[in-house]
Amino acid sequence: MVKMKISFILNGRPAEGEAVPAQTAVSFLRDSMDQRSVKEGCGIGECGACTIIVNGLAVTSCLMTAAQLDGATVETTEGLAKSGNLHPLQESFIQHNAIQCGYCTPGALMSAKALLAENPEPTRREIRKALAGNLCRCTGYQQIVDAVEDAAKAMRGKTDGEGCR
Amino acid sequence: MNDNDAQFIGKNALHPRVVEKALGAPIFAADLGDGNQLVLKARRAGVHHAEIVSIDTREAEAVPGVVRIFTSADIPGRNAVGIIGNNKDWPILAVGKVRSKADAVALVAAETEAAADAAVKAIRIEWKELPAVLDPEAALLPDAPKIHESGNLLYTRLIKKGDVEAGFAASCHILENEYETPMIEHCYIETEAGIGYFDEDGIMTIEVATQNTHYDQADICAVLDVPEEQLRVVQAVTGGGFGGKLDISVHGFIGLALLHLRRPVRYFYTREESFLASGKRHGMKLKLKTGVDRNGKLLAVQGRVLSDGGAYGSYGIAVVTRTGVHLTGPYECPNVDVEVREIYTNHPFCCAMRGFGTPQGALAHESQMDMHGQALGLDPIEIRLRNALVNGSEQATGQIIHASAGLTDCLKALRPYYDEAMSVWMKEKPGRPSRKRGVGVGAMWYGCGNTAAANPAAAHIEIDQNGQLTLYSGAADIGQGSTITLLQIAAEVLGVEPAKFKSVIADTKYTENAGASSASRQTYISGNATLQAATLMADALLERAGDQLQSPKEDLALAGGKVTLKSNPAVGLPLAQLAGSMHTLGLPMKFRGYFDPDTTPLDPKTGQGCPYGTYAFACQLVQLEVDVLTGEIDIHRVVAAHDVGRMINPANLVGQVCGGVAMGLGYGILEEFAPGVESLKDYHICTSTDVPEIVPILVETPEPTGPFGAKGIGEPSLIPTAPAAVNALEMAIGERIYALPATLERVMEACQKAGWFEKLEV
Amino acid sequence: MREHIRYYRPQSVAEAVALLREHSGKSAIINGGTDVLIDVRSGKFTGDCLVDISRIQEIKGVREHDGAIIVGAGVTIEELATSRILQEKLPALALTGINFAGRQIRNVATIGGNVAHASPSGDTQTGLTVYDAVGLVASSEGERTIPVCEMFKGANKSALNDTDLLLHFIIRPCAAKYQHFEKIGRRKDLAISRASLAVLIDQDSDGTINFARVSLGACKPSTGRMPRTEDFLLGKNPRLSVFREAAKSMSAEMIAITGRRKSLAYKEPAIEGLLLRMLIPLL
Repeated sequence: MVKMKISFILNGRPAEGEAVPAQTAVSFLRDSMDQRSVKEGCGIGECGACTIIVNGLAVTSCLMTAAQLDGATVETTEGLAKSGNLHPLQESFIQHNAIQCGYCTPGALMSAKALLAENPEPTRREIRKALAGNLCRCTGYQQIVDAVEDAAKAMRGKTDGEGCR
Repeated sequence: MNDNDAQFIGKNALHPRVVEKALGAPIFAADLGDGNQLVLKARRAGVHHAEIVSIDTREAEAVPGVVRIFTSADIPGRNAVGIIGNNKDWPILAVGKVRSKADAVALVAAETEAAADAAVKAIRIEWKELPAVLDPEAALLPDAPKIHESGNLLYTRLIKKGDVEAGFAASCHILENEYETPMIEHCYIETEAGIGYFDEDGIMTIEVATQNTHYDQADICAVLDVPEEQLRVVQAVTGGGFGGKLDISVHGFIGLALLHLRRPVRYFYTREESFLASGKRHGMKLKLKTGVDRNGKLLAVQGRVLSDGGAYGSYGIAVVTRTGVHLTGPYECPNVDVEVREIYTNHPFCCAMRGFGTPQGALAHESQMDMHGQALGLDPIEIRLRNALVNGSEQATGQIIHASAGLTDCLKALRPYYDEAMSVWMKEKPGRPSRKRGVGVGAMWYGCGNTAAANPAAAHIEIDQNGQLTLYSGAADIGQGSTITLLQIAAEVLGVEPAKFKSVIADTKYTENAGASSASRQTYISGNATLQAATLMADALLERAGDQLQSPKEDLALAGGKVTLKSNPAVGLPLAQLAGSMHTLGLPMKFRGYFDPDTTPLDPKTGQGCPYGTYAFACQLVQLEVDVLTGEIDIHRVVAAHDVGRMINPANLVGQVCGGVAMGLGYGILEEFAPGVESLKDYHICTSTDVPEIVPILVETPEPTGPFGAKGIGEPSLIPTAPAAVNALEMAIGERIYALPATLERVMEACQKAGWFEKLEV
Repeated sequence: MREHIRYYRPQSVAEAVALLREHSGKSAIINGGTDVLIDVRSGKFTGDCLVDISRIQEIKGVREHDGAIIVGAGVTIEELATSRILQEKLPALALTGINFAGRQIRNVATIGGNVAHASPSGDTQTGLTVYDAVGLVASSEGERTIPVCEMFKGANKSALNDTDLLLHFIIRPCAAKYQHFEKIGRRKDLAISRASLAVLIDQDSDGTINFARVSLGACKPSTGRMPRTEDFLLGKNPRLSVFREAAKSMSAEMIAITGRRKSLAYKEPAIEGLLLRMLIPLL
C-alpha cells in the first residue's frame, strides 16, 4: 500500500497528513487529522453528515478521496469558533434549539456557512434548498431554518432584535 | 403555583451539552477512544430462514490482523435477550438456526477495519435453507414453518367492552375498511455504535448509543454471566433513537469481546448494516368497523389487527397492546371489541418506534372518523369534538380519565386554522391547473409510560459542601432534551438556575434505573422522581436555614441560590454556606426521588384495567397540493396542536412537535422498508424542502399527577400527521388511500380512479 | 478495500488519455467521485486504479463557439444550473441541474460523469438529448465525436470505452420559444428521477406547432428523443384534447421500447400526466 502525502489548508492553517489515496476524505479527516466533527452517516452522499467546505463549496466528504484534498482549502466545524468565540451560526443554532441529537449539526453548519458566503440574505426557501442535502431526523428542520435565517441577519450586522421566536 | 410564579418552568433553557454539539466535539460513540481499539464486526446470515449445518472459521482466523472469532459457543451465559421480561427470544449469536437475514452467526475481532471485513467474508457457513415465512397471514396457517419452537403467534391482545353488536345495531352509519401500514426504519442519523473498555476501577464498560442503560446492563450481564457490579453501561451522547436504540445492538458483541479479550474494542455500524440489522416499525394490517349514531357519536368499534413482528419479539407484545388500547382513537365509545395479534415472520425484527403501535391504528380510526363526518355532513373538527374524550370519560379499557383530557382544547385551537384553510386557501387557484388542494385533520391520544406495567424511575439530587448541586438520572437523553427538562424541574424547586447544576446521566455506575427513554415517559415519570428528590433537598436546605435564621421553614423561600426570608428577601443564606454546615453536621446531602405511575394490569380476556397514569392529546391539520397528473405531493403547511399538560421548555416542545411532524409526513407519504432497501439511496426520509412551515400550538391542560402538570410529547407529535395527510389527499383527489405510505404510485392510482387525466380542465 | 487502489492525477487531457490506455480494463475515471466512490464502497468497482481528472482545466467551463455552446465534461451540475449562458441559450439543459441530488453533490458531480455512467435516470442526459448534443471524446487513437443519444448501450451501460475520455459537449441552441425540463422524484430534493422530460416547442403565429422535440428519461434503458410523439405534435393546434392524445402517444411509444413491465403501472400514466402538464402552458 502506497501512502500519499496530503498537504492542504485546514481551517486556515497549513496541514499535512498521510493517506491511502483512495481513502475517503471523511476517514482521513477523522482518523488522521482529528476532525471528528465530520460524521459518516451513510457513506454514499445521501445524508450530508460528513459535509465539509472545500475551496468554498460544501461537499460530502464521503464521496471525495483524501487525495482530492491535496492542495485544497478545507473547512470543518472544528474551525468555526475563533479564539473561544462561537461562530454566529453556532450561536444561532444553540439559541434557536436547532440542535437536538447533534449528529447532523456539524454538516448542517457547513452547508449553512457555504450558503451565507454566497448569499448573505437568503430566503427561508433558499435556506431549505441549500440544506436539503443535510438530513435531520430530529428537528423537522424548522428550528434549523430559523437559526440560519437569524445568523444571516447577525452576520449582516443588522439584527433587528426580534429574532424568530 | 401559577405561571407567573414560575422562574424556570415554561421558559427556555439550554441543554447542558448543546455547546459541545455545536462545536462538533468528539462526544459520540464513534468519536471516542484512541484509535487503538480492536474492531468488531458480525457475520450476518444473509438468508431469511435456515439451519446452520456448520461454521468454518479457519480461513477467517488466518486473515492477518484477526485476533479472534467468536461463535455462540463462546457465550458463557444466557444467549438470549429481549426487553419484555418473559420473552427473551433473540440470541446474540445464532444457535442452530437463523430466523432473519440480519441474524449474527459469528463475531470477528481484528486489529483493523480491513482485516475485520476480510475475515467476515472468509467465514464459511453451510446452510440448510428452510422455507421463509414473510407474510403474517401465511405464518398463522397450520402447516406454516415454525420460526420459534413456541409457534408463530407471539401474542394476542383483546380489548372488550360493552356489546359491539348492539352498538352496530343502534348505529345509523357503519363503515368497515381495511388498512395497511408498512415497516419503516428509524433512520437516526447516527448509526448504532459503541466502545468497550475497562474503566478506572477496572470494570468492564460499554459506552454506547442507547435509550436505556439499565436494561442493557441487565441483559448483557445475563449473556456474559457476570454480576451487575462487574459491567458498567454508559450512554454515549446519542445521535437520535426514536425507539430503535432500545434494543441490544452492538452491546452484546462488545461485552463478549471485552470479557474474552480484556482489550478495548469498538463497533460502528455502517448505514448498510444499520438498515440490515436494526429493528423496524411493525407493519400492520388493520380491519376496522365503526358505527355512529345520527349525531355522529361513536357507538361501536370493532378491530382486527395483524402485526408483523419479524423474527424476534423485542417490544412487540407492548406495541400490539398499545395498538389495541388506542384503537378507538381519542374518543368515547361504549362498545369495543378489538383483537390484535403479534406474529413472528422471517422479516427483520420489529421493535419500538415513536408511537409504539399507535400510529398504525391512527391511520384507521382517523380515516373512519373523517368518512363518518362526511356521511353525516359534519366537518372533521366537529365530528371529533362530538366524540372527544373529556374529563370524566371512560376509555376502552374502562379507565376513567379524570383530568387533563386536552383534545377538545386542541380541536378548538385548530378550528380557526381549519376554517381559514377552507374558506381562503382552498378557494385560491393553485399555481398550475394540475394541482389540487386538500385539507385534512388527524387526532390522537397517547398514554404516557409503559402500558399497564410498573415503570418506575428514580432520580437523585446531591449538594456538595460548596453548594454545587448535581442531578443523577438514569434517563437517557437521546436529543429530545430530557436532561434539561429534569434540570428545569429541579431548578424551579431549588431556586437555582438550571445552568448551575451538574448532571450525571444514564451511567449505571452512578445513576439509578429510570427505565427507558421511550413511551413519552421521561418528562412525566423521571420528572416526578426529580421533583420529589428536589423537594426533599429543598426541605433539608430550608430546615438547615430555619435553624440558622431562627425562623420557621414556612417563612423561608429558595431563590437565586439562597434561602431567604419571605418577609425580607435581603436576609438570606447562600446554599454554599448551608451545604457547608450540613456537611459539618453530617446531615444527608443526597436525596432520592421515585415515581411509578398508578396503573393496573389489563385483564387478559377483556383488556379492562388502567394502563396509564395520564394521556397526551393532539390534533393536526395538513394542507397539501397534489399534482393529479403525476401523483406528486407538495405539503403546504402543518398546524399541530398539542396538549402537553404544562410546558416545561417551550423550545424543546416545539422541537419535538416539528420533528414528529416531519417524521409523520415521511410515514405518510415516503417511507417504506421494503425488500431491496439497503441504504439511504433506496429509503427516503423528508428533506428540508419536503417539510413545510409548521405552526406548533402548545395547549396546556395541567395534569395533576404530572411534574408541574407536565405530560409527554415525544411520540404524540408524529401520530396525527400521516392520517391528516391521507385525509387531505382524499379531499384533493376525491379518492381515499387506505395504505401507507401514499407513494407516487398509490396517489397516481387514486388520481386515475378519480379520472383526473380525462376530466382535468384548464 | 481501498489500500490497493493506485491513484493518478493527470494535469492534461493528453496525460489522462495515456494513463487510461496504460491501465485499460482496471481503471476508473473519477471527477466529482459521486458515482465511482459509491462503487468503490460497495465493491462493485473491481479495478486497481483511479484516474482523477478533476484538475484538468481543458474540460472545464461553458463557452460559446461558432454558434454552438461548448459545455466541458468537467462542468459541475451546480455550474450547469447556474450558468447564465445555459439559462439563456439552453434552458432545458440548465433546468436539469436544479433538482439534482443535494447541493453538496451538485457542487462536485459533473455533466460528463452523469453521461458517462449511463444511468437511465441521469437527468442531464434528458436535457442533452433534446438538444441533439454531441460529445467530443479523446482516446489514444485521437479525438472523435459521438451524439449523446448514441452514448448509451442500455441501463448503466455506456457506449464509451474505458480508454475514452469525454472532453465536452457541443450543443446548437434552439430557437424554440418553449424550452422546458421537469422531473418526477419521490421527494423534492435528493431524488432519483422516476421520469424526466425535456420539451422544445415552437409555434406559428396562429399557434400551430411547427417544431417539437421531446426527450424522455428514466423510463427506458437509454434516454432519448421520442420521434413518434414529436411527429404527432407537429402541425397540431394546441388543444387539451390534442395534448391528451400526444401524451397517450408518448406512453405507447415508450411501451413499444420497454415492453410491459411492473413499474409501468406508475410510469405509463405518470409520463402521460407529465407531458400533458408541460404542454398546458401552450394552450
